Parts: sequence; C-alpha cells; structure tokens
Amino acid sequence: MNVILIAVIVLGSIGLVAALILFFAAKKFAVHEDERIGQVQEVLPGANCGGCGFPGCSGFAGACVKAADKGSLEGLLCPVGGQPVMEKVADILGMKAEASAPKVAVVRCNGTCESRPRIAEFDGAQSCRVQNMLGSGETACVYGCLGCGDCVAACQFDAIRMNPEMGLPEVDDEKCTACGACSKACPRGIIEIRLKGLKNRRVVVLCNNKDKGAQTRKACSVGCIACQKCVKVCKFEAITVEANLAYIDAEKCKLCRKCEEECPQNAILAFNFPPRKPKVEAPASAPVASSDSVSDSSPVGKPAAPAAGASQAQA
Amino acid sequence: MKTFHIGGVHPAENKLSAAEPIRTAAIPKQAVFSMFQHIGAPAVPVVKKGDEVKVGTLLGEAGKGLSVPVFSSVSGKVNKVDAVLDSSGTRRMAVIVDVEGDEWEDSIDRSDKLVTMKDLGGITAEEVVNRIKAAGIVGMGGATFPTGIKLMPPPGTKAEAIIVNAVECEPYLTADHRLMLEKPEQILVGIQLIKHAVNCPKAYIGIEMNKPDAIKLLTDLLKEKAAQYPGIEVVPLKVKYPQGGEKQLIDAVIGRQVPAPPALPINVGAIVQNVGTVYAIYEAVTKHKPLIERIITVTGKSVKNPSNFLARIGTPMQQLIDEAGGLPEDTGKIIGGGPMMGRALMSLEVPVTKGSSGLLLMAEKESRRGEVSPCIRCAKCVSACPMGLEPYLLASYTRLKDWDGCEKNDVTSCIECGSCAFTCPSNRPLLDNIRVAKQTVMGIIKARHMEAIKK
Amino acid sequence: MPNTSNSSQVSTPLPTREGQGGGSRPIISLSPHVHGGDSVQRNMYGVCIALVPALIASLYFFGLGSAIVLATSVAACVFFEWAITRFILDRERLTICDGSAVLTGLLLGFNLPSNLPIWIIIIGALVAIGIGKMTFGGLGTNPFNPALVGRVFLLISFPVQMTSWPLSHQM
Repeated sequence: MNVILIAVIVLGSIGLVAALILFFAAKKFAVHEDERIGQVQEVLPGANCGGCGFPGCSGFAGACVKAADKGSLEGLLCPVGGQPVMEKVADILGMKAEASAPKVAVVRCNGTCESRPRIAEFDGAQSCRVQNMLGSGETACVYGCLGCGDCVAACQFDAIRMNPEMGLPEVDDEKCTACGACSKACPRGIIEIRLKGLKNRRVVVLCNNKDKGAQTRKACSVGCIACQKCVKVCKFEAITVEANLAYIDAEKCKLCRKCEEECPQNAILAFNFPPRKPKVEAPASAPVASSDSVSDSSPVGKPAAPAAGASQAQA
Repeated sequence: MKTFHIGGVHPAENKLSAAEPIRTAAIPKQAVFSMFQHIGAPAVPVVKKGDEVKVGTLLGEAGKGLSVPVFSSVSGKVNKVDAVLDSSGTRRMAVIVDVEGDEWEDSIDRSDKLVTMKDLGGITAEEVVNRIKAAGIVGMGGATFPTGIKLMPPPGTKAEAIIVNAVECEPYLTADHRLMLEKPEQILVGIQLIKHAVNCPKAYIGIEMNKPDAIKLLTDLLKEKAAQYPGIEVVPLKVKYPQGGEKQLIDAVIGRQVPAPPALPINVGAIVQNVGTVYAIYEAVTKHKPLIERIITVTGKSVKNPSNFLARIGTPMQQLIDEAGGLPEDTGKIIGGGPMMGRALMSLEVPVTKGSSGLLLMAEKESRRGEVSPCIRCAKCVSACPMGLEPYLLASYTRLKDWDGCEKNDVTSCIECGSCAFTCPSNRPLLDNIRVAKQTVMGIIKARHMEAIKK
Repeated sequence: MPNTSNSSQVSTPLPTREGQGGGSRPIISLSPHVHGGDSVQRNMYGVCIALVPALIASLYFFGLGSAIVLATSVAACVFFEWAITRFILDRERLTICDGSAVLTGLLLGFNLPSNLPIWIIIIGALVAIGIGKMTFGGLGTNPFNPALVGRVFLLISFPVQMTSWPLSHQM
C-alpha cells in the first residue's frame, strides 16, 4: 500500500512539475500566428503538392494572407482546388476572387527529330540545364527544346511526358494544373502557361526561335521565320512579331485558324479543333495518327510534322 | 618540390607536340572576329560592310564596363557584321573580313629586334597599362579576363609578387612551353614591363617539372643577365593538375591562400599572368602590336602532325586542322582548349579567338564517357578537389535542388577544373551537376544582392 | 533517334568523315573530357588485394577450416547477389562483376570462426547481401557495411557457434 502511494505521489508530482514547465514554456515561447492562416489552410485540399509554388498548403495559406493584407490575391492560385477553392479562400480573407480563366502549359517547340536535324550528340548528365550550357546543344537551334526532360521531372502531376518519337515533351491537358513548375524548370523558357481557350481550343506559334529567318530555317524546318504573313492575315490584331518571333495573344485570338493556313513553315498549329472540312485536303494519315497518340492535344488539320512522324514510325 | 596543398590529380600528359617548333599558320581567306572574345561586355563594332581594313585596324571598340577592343588580324574588306556561331555554341556579333593581301598598319613595328627596357627609356607605368588596354589584351590561358584591369590594383591593395603562369597543366597543350623556348628574352622583358606597371619588385615564373628544357633555359638566361633582369625567379613546380589555376598557383609559388569569392588574388598581394599574355604585353608595349595573333596547339592522338601554330586570330579551326594533316577519320570530339577544361565544339568553322590555347581532336572511342554507376562513397572526389569542396555532396544537393545546402557548402568556390569527375570511379557527372548548382546559387546570390540594394 | 541528318541543311557543316557517309555527329559534353580510368571494379579488387596478407595469415594459422569458410562465404555472397538482381529485382544489368560481392564475402569470412558449419555461413551471406545490401538498393546505397550486418545477425542468432572456435594449431 505504502509503495503504491509513494509511486503515485512521485509520479504525480513529476507530472505536475512537467505540466507547469510546459505551461510556462507555451506562454513564453508562444508563436503568434495569424488565425486566418489556419482557416485558409482548412479549405485548401491539403495535398501539400507544391503545385502553387509554395512549400505545402500552409505555405500557400500564409502567402494568401500576406497578399490579402497587401490588397490583392492576384497571381495566387491553388491549381488542384482551382476556382472554387480560391473563392472560399477569398471569402475568408474578405476579398473578391479574381476570375481566372483556366490555363494550361504549352510547349512552344515543334522541332521533332525529323524537322530539326541533330548535328551533335550530347553526352553527360541527362539534364536540359547541363545541355543548355553547351550552347545550342544537340541541334543547331539555340532556342528549341533540348529533350532531356527537366520539365517532366519538375511536374508533380504526371501531366507532362516525353514523346520518344518526337523527342519533345507532351502536355496532358486533363492533368495539367498550370502550376508553372515545368515552365520554370525549362532553361530555355519554351513552356508557356497559356489560356486554355474555349473548349480547349488553341492556336499557338509552336516556336521560340528568335534568330533571323535564314538561320532559323537552317536549324529547323518548322521554325518561325518572322515572315509577318500571319500578322497580315489576322483580323483581330492578335499576332505580333517581336525579335523575329511571332506570338499569338490568346486573349485576342478568336480561333479563326487563318494564320495556321497561312504559315509557310507550319509553325502555327491549332489544337483540339475538329478535322477540317474537305475544303482543305488533309492526308488521311494525319488524323489517324493524332487519334492514336497519347495526348489529346495533338494538332489536327494540317499534315503537321509530329503527326506525320508518328505515323511513319507506327507504320 | 613546390606545389599547391589541397587536392589535385595527375592526368596522362600526352604532350605530343612538345618538340614541334612554332609554325606560322597561313593567312585565312576569310577571318571571323567575334566581338565577344573576353569576359565582360562585348566590344562594339566600329566598321561596316565594305570597309577596307588592314592588319591592326580597330574593328570593335571596348564596350561599357569590363571590356576590351578587337582588332583585325588580316587586311581586306569587311564582308558583313552579323551574329555567327562561336566557340561557346551561341550566336554572337562578329565582323567577317574577306582577306586581300597582307597590309599592316604603319604604327606596328614588324621587326624581330629585341626591345629592352633600356630602349624604351623612361616609359611611365601609366603608359604601359594604357598600351596594354589599347591593344585589347586579355588573359590568354583561357580565362580571357581583360589584362589592363588586372594591372590596376584596386585602392587598398598592393602587388607584392607577379606570378607568371607557365605551368600549362592541361594535358596535350604545349603552346606556352614552345613560346618559352622560342621567345625567352621577350618574355623576360614582358615581365619587367608588368613589374614596372604595378611597381612590384618581385616576379616568379612557375613552371612544371615536365618542361625541364624551359626551366633550364630561363634559369640560365636569368643567371647570365642577372643585372639586366633583376628580381625574376624561376620556380620549378611538381606536376599536378590544376596547378595553372590562379589560386592553386599562388598557393604553390608563394604559399598564400586566396580567400573565397569575392576576394581576388590581389587581396593577397599577387598578380598572376599567363606567359602568353606576358608575350602579348611585350609586343603591345614595345612594338605597338595589338593582340592579333596567338600560339595555339593543334593536337590529338590520331592527328598526323600535332603542331604549334602562330595563328592569326579569326582563322577558322578547319584551316589549322588541314595544316596539321587533316581531320582524322575517327574523330569523335573536337575540343577547343585542353581536355580538362576545354569546350566541345560542334563545328570546325569557329574561329581562333584570343583565348584559344589549343584544339584537341579526340578519337571517338576515347571521347565517350563511361557508364554511370552508383556513388560508392569512396571520397576520391573530395581528396581530388583543389578547393577543398565535397563534390559528391554538392552533386547530391543539386539533384535534390537544395540550393541552400549548395551555398553553405561553398559551391561558388568551385573553379570547374574537373578533377572530381576525372577521378570518380563511378563515372558520375559530378561537375555537370555542380555547374548547374553554381549557376543557380550565383543567380540566387545576385537576386538577393539586388533586393538588398533596393531596400 | 534516326541519324538521317542531311548535312547540307545544317548551318554549321559537320566534320564529315570520308567512308562513314558524312552523317556522324560530333559528341559534345561539358569538361572534363578525359577520365582517370578508375572504376568501381578497380576499387573493389584493390581492397581485395589489400586483404591478401590477412588471407595468408588466416590460412597459416587456421589452415583448411579458414579456407573452407572463406570460399563458402565468397561463393554464397556472389551467388545471392546474382540471384537477387536476376530474379527478385529483375534487373537486366548484373553487378556481380564489380567485385563488391566478392569483397563482402571476404570480409564476412574473416569475421567468422574457422569451424563454423557451412549452412550458418550461407545464412550469414544471405543476410549480408540480401538484407545488408540489396534491400537498400544495392551498391552504394547501403547504410551499413553488409559484411558486418551479416556478422551481427549471426552473432545474435548463433551465439554459441560464433563465440567458440578452435585455437590455432600454430600456437
């Protein structure tokens, strides 16, 4: 009996002392945290994917609160939760959610193995950043895709894959959350986070080459040579040519596809459009190949190089 | 025997062209002068299409900040001023000249007569530096840092020792070796000019022991004419790579350690100049000859006649290879510079630049890297690193994208000598990864710096 | 990747090699372009050579028993390494030639009494290679020395056999 009593007293008092220490320690070292951070964090998906560019959901919540204090939530988006979650976040913080149109990553290079000859062979760590230090890399194009897959490694959502036949990455529109990790990982800034467009339809200049036309043409058969034809044909002033490279402003583009027809280099491609009417005779192989390929974003319509290449390889 | 204290490796020397006297390469039919042959801002072209130029005519004046002018090494007509692919693999502004004849600017003294300090009379230190700057001289060992800037120590520092880098620790290359054998007195006068320019009484010539003839020649010459060339000493060094690195050479010769960046060699009282640069200084100051030609080794195990050429800057590499017996059939890799730090070239059209110390043609079978296997933590890279870094750790941090870890482990001190990857038994691309980390961390530090300035 | 580049299209002419169709491309990589020639294999067999004096001493002092123990241990380690990479990990590239399994076998053998039953040695080799090394991913990724993992396992599992051994007949 006595033994038990002593044990209870000793253990009890140790517990009491420890509790007191903990109590004062908690008081003394209390970290003041904005309670809104916790609230915001609760409505976030909690996947801690890092897709937003912050270390986990708590990091993003902190950034949201900070941004709200500055007056705007612009530029902050939880790619997983999307608009609904951002609206909830905005509610908590007493802000209005920016209506952000869905975006998607677009690889602005179409220099496949066929259209862009390899003039050298790269040997070394399989990383685009390493290859980029060697100047133009395996091909003569200083601006084109290097094909080592830094973007693939950066993607948290398995939304970007290397197409071994083309030697280029392909984005899966369904999985892509437009978090921009691939865009940041690309040492040549080829990947653009672009408006997804109506029904996923997009018309894009698939080239990033800022060299003069003659040099571009030598390096790649589908490079933009800045001939201005697309600018002239566009009725909506959506296309600009800067530094020898055409760019289509997705907000102004009305998806008329005139420029696609006009482009002498096949550098402008339209995605996710239904096949053209017989008016433009598309070779039978092109649609077949695109329906076979992994991504649903394969260009349809013109006998584009990748499709042709894929069909050849399959045949 | 003196050498640097941390790390180092000893690659097979392969100095195939060591016994080949310097040959003058033919003047090319067309010469390409990149405006970016040095570290810093590119030169600005001052000629336009159709202009007549002579040997020594200014083609591009120094740009803003750290920069040097570029001169024509041929006479003829400017074909065009355009961006062309250079040895870095990117397109850069260049002046292309179609060669006609070989007319030189009148101001250049083309005689071979040795001009000594006495002949120059009371030339001021300032005048020496000005002539060096005007001649567009850069470090010719490969770093291509503008020499004029190096010879103007920042306030608060004082040059206590000039160290002439005659180490040539890169395998295969023999350009500096041959230069010392063929122009020893000119080099000694050049050293005197540098000493005069920075008012420093002492100069050392660091030469590795694999060049005993050069050591003997210079030592004897200095003994013989001690009164004429005071305060110059030849320091024989043990053969070890990367002894030609600035910091390693300072450690080897005068036993001082340069602290981590941003400290410069001048902070420990040393100025290091490559022996090729010294010769260029001699020619610029005494003969008013701008930097228009340099010595370049064309070598490789399959090359018919490995040679040392005195080539005009702007000569296409293809021409030098033709003169050395043509491109061997089994060429797999073309390297501008030495095998340890040189750049792999994609085209033989690239011209000789101020920093081209060699052209190495490697056979296909020796140019591929071995199969990569896992790190076995043997720590050979750690003992090889001349900067005392831990390459395996930096490479792992790079893979994990832990840039803080890289910064804390001094990735910015890396001199990219390649000793780690050279020594790795698992063939791991250590330096590839470290370069990525170094680039990223430099970017982060710069951004932080800009942020601090903004605040 | 098709090697069909037509050199006339390319901006920078390739160093065409006669007799090879002019289609071969130069190799590009970052420096260094040479390698010291050291390899994992060389390192591993280097350590094995360094163990030769110890091997001679053990044969001299413990005779045939030690030879059997060492031979069993090395053979078992190499076998398990081969079997695990081939059948369990299903890897194409076999790693038994790199010498690391031989070295583990030698080190394990040196850690065992000269009269240890062969089946215990085989269990030790299995633990050393299977648990000490391959579980963690194989060469280079093991947190502990595989031979010592094997030894510790045997010491705990078979304390009697592991702690009693014949005295050297030379003493």
